[in-house]
Amino acid sequence: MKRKWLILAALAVVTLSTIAVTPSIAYFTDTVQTNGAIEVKLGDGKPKIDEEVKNMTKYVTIKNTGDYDIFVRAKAIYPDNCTLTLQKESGWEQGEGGYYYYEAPLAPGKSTGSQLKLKITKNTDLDLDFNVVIVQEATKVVYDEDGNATPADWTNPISSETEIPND
Amino acid sequence: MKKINKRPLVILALGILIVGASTVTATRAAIVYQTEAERVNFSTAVFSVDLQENVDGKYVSLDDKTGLQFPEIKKDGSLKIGKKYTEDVKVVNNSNPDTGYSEYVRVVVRKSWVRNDKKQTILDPELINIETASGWIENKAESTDEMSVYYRTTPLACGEEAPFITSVTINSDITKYVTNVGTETAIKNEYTYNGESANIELQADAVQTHNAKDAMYAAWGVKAEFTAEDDGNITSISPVE
Repeated sequence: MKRKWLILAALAVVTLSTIAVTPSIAYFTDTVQTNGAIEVKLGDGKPKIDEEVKNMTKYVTIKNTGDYDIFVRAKAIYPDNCTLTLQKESGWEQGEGGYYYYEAPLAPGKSTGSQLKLKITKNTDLDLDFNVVIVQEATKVVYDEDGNATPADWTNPISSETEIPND
Repeated sequence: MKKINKRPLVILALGILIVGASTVTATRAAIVYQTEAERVNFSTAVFSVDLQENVDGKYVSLDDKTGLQFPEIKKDGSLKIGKKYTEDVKVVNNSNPDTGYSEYVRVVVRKSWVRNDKKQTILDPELINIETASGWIENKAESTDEMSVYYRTTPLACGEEAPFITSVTINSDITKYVTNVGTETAIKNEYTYNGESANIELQADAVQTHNAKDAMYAAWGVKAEFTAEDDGNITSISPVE
């Protein structure tokens, strides 16, 4: 009698195991994975001005010391007893706000290809000392889909370490 | 009968004799009938998919060791924000030509910003724009801001290839995320995306075209409809359940 129950139990286990195991089907598959990164550099650097005066003409060069392409413009601040005249030089144009604009974008580490030349003329015969101070401003270059620089947005200038005068 | 039961050693000896005799017979049969012509060598079929990037006119296979190089960006020296850079990445069915297996392929594209190998989850992956070639459909149900899943609608025959990525652009809006950090004597602009890297991860998956519906569901968990049971074109992909 005992043996009969054992046989029945064994049969039940075998039947259950057969039902529980579903047929497994394998399919051909494959996978390949890769990646890549594009570093973005947007850091500002205060554009460096190199200037010298020769024969009453001021020569100005501006260098991009930041990490990204910029447009630059420069302005001369001078007393009323003199006049400044832009010497026509390729790349530089006089424009809005009394600024002189360099037309091409400056890549990081690059300087303006031509110098800004400003001829200084005194309006008085008096022998007075005076200063002609050059200030610069820069803005980041944004490109269109074709890689052409879009017009400079001077409402959004870079202002890295702009000195605020103490009162 | 009772006599035999009382001698288990006799039963054991008989059993060994029967098993031994049957083994010897089988071996003899094998020796007698085996000929060279009857030998068949089976080898496992190579079912494979490859990603390749065009680097200066030559396609380079990509994997976890050889990553995307973005040659057009390199040519520019530095990345120009907003410029659409041509990027030529294709998917190739490089299965063993002897097998001639066709395959359905999909590509999972994951975009993120990383710094020092750490993912920057607060930065927007949608500012990394990737354009794909025609012939792919994006399953929006599987896609997120960070991940897009593209399915090739037609099967790739053995040796066939399909262009996938055509261009990469970093959206010019990244220059607008700027904060002014000021002291009493100076103001400094800090750009949120400065020093970050746009990370693009590609994962190409392939599955057999035979018994396509079940194979794709089993492999990728999506239910697709086809124009034919085997090797048909995909007409729709239903959301993941």
